[in-house]
Amino acid sequence: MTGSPETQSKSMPGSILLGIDTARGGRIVTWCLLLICAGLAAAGFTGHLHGYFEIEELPAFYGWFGFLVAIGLGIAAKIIGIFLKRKEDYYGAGSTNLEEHPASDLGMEASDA
Amino acid sequence: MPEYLTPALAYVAAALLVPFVPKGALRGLYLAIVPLAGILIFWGLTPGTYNAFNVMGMQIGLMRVDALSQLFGLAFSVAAILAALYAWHLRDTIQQIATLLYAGSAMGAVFAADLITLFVFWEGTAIASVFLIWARRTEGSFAAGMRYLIVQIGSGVILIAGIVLLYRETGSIAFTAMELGSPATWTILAAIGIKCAFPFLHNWMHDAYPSATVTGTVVLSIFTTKLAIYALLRGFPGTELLIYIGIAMALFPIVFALLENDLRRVLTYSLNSQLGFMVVGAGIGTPLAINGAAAHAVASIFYQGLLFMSVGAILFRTGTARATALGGLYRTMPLTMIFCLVGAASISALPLTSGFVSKSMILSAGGYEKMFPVWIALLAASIGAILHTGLRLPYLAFFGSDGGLRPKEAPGGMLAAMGLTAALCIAIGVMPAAFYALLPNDVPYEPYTFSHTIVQLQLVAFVALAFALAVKRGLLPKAERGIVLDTDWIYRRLLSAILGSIGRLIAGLWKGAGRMIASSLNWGAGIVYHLHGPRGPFARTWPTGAMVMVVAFLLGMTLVVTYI
Repeated sequence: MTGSPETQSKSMPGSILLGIDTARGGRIVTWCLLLICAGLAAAGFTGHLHGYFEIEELPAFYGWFGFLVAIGLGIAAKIIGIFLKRKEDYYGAGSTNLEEHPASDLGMEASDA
Repeated sequence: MPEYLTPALAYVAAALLVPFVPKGALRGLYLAIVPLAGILIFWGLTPGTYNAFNVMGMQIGLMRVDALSQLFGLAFSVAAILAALYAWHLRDTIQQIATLLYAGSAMGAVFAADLITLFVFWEGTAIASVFLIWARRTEGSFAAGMRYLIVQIGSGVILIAGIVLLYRETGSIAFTAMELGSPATWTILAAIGIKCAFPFLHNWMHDAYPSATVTGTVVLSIFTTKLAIYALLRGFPGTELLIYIGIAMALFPIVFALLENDLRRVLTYSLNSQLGFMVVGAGIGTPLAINGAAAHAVASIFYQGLLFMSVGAILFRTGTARATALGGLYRTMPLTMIFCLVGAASISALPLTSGFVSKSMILSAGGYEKMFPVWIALLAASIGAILHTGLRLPYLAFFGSDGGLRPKEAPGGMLAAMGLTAALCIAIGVMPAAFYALLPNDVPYEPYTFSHTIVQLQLVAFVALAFALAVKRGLLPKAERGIVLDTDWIYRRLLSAILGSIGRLIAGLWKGAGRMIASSLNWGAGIVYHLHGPRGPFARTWPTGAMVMVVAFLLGMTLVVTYI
């Protein structure tokens, strides 16, 4: 079922997206997002945004609040992970963390493409 | 209408007949049709309680039909049909019967007009659903199933204790809104809280759901927790405590979802967080908030189910749901990817999806009541949902670093189920008026205002930008093989260590006491042996003179004692 990226065939069903997971693809996605964010922030000024609280009156509040909280959550998770992450065998044998999913419940097949 | 008719009966009767239906397409069709029979029993009935009778002075009502029960009944029925389609390939009779009994129990509980009926079906969901975990047939799933069963049965036992207390207190077992304050109502809330995965009572879900079979996890994600939400909306609307519990529920799973490597476990934390929104809605208790909680529960059944289905399809084809082994699956599983992205968009509350029209009602309810801390906390939880499930999960599975796996697209039944569920998520988002018409309260609400649409798009787009930059700069936790400690550590390690220590202490004391008794007996036996043994003083043959001396001494002593 495995194969190297070099052997990927253009005939794969999802070939239209090929390259999106490369560094260049990542840069393109990031720039697109940046443009979309700028556009949406500008769109917010085209009409009055009705909110429930004063804080919502701040320019592009939802945008920068979302951005900062997302970055904050990522960093918080990294720090908390130092204390909470353990190896898969932490609860010993007889835990589903260690087991492979039984083949009888699966239908593993490789792509024809 | 027959006196004992309830939608649950259709499922139970159908479950008994499953072994007699030939395996394959015919059985698949049979399992998908059963929920339609359930719908026929309750749909179109005018609101009221049907099939009520008296048992030992208690008024039992098997079928209460109103907007709330019809909404949940309909959602459960449609979800059961979709689950049957998803499991079309399955040939395991035990899982098929367990699914029907589980869905039937959930339906029976939703239509229960009294607490005894609720209790019976409450326990029914616990007993039937554990077979979906055990059906994995491994040592680990057996242990996880046992832990799950203990917690779920425990919830039922606590519920019946609360019902007994309530009956003694009020003389009624009617399942209506309760005022938190007496031991009875606290006990009933605790029972519901366990099934609803309140903080510190939540870990059974993250332990058990990822331990089930591919199709079992999808089915499990539909019923138990949403039934608990229904019970809260019915039993404790407007209970202020629920607001704080809900906020904690919405927030704390975010970090765990960001840390987890097992994508099915990421989804259980995500589900836990979404349940928090519904609990807050139940706690606020205004007609809009109740509508929001009910709408979000229904929307969540479908978008969360869709996400579980897509990760299940990946597991089915690749043999793993570990993020570290996946990546790059968009190449060969594009349809599964599209359906997963619809689920991700819905949980992110992107306009034109179900999450947008349901979640916003709860936030608006908090806004209208000027509950700023509640509103800002839910906004932060929404950002968390976009981050861990809306972006990270599809990124790790379908994009991200290429795991090298090139599996075949999911089988037809799975694709059909995912496609229909995705269509439903979009239909709810595109036609909110039709969806709102099913909600319990008649409250006007317009989700697609200019303000609301723009700010929600801003939120999603900026979080996506933050995600892209965080991935590039390493500001998010890396997907790594391993587990994340949660409260199950208390009973799987701490309690186990404490009980082990107590066991060792008792064993040591027992051993020490045994040794002491044995050495005392040895000592006593030694003395007896010393005195009476072959060489002991009492075993020797004494000379006649010595004996006469002893006798004379004893007689002399007797004379002295007699005359003194």
